[in-house]
Amino acid sequence: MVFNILNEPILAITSYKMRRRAGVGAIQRQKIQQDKFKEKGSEIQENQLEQMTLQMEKFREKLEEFAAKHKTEIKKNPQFRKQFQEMCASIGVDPLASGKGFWCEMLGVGDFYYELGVQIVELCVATSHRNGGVISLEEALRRLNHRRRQDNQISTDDLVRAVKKLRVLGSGMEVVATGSSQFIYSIPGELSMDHTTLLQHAENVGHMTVSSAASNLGWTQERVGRTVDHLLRIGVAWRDDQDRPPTYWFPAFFQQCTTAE
Amino acid sequence: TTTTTMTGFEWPWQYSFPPFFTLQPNADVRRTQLDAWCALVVSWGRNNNVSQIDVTEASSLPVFKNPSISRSLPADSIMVVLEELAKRGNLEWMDKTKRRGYLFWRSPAEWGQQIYTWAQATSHINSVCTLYEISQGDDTINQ
Repeated sequence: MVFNILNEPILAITSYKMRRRAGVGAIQRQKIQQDKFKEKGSEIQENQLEQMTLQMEKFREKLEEFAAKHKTEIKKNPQFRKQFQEMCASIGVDPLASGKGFWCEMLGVGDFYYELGVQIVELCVATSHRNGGVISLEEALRRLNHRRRQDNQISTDDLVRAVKKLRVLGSGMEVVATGSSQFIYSIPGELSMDHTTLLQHAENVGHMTVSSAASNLGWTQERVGRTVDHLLRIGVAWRDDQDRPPTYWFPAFFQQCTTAE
Repeated sequence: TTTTTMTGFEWPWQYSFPPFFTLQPNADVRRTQLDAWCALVVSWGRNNNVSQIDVTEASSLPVFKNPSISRSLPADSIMVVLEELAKRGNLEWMDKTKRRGYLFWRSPAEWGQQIYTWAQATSHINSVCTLYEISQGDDTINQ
C-alpha cells in the first residue's frame, strides 16, 4: 500500500472500472482535505485567541494595579477619573457594573457614583416643583458642586455617567441633549419626540405662543396645543394669560429660576 | 439675579416670571404657585410692616404687581391668594364680609411651635409663664 501526505491509501488505477471509482474517491479526498485545512485554520485561530486573551488578562491585571495605586487620585480628580473610565471601557471593563468584585470594593468607584446618583435624585426631587422635572446639566453641576468640598468636585462627565447608571436601575431619569445644552429629565412617564422637540425650541426662544411655535416647527396649531397641554400638566410649562395671545414659559429655561437659591 | 428694594427685600425668582401672575390651570402646579405667593406676601408683609390687608386696595399693593414686566395679579386671583393665606393661618378676616384681614407674619401654629421650642430650651415645659416672662424675661434676651 502507498500512502499520500494525508495518510490516505492511494489506489492504483488498473482498469476503467477502477478509474471511475477513483473519480468519486478524488472528490471525497478533496472534501477530507478541506476539512483538515479548516481544522488547522481553527487551531491557529484558537491559538491567536488564546494569546489575545492572555494579553488582555495581563492588561487587566496592570489596570487593577494602577487603579489601586491611584485610588485617591481617581476619587479626587474628575479629569483623571474620566480618562480612567475610558481606559476601562476600551477593554470592556465596567467599574460600576456590580456592587461586588474588585473594582467596587477595592476602589469604591461604585460607591462614588452611587452616592452621586443619590445626590442627583435628591436635587431633582427638590427642584421639580418649580421646573417640572427638567434641569440643565449646568445648573445641576453648579448646585451639586456647591454642596461638595473643594477637593471633591465633580465634572459634567461624572454627572452623565451617574445618570446613565440610574437609568439602568430603572429610575426613569435620563440625560437628553436638547438644543445647545443638556438636560436631566426626571419626569415620571415618557416624553415623546414632540415634547422634546418643542422643549428644544423653547430653550432657544424662552417663551412662545401656539402660533409662533407652529410656524417655527412646521406643525399644526392643534399639534402644538396638544404638546403644550401635556407640558402644562406636568409643570414644565406655565401659561401667561396677560399676553394676547397667551404665551408659554418654561421655568427650566428661565434664568432667574435656574440661578435662584 | 434678584431685584432688591431699598429696604434690602429680595424678590423671589417667581416675581420676575410673567406667568406667575396668572393662576395656573393644573391643580398640582397651582398648589406650588400658591405656596410661592403665600410665602411672598408673608415675607413682604413682614419686611414692610404690613399687618392688615384691605381687599379693595390690595391691587395697588406692590407685592401684587411687577411694573418692570407689566404684570399684576388680577383681583379675583388676589382673593384666591388671600383665602389661601387665611386657610394657612396667616390671615384672619376681621368680619364676615371679608373686606379686611389681619396679616400674621407668623401663623398661630408657627408661634406655637416657636414658643414650644423656646420652652423646651429654657426648661419651662409644664410650668406656667406670663406673656411678659415669655417675651421679656431673662431667658429670652437673645430671642
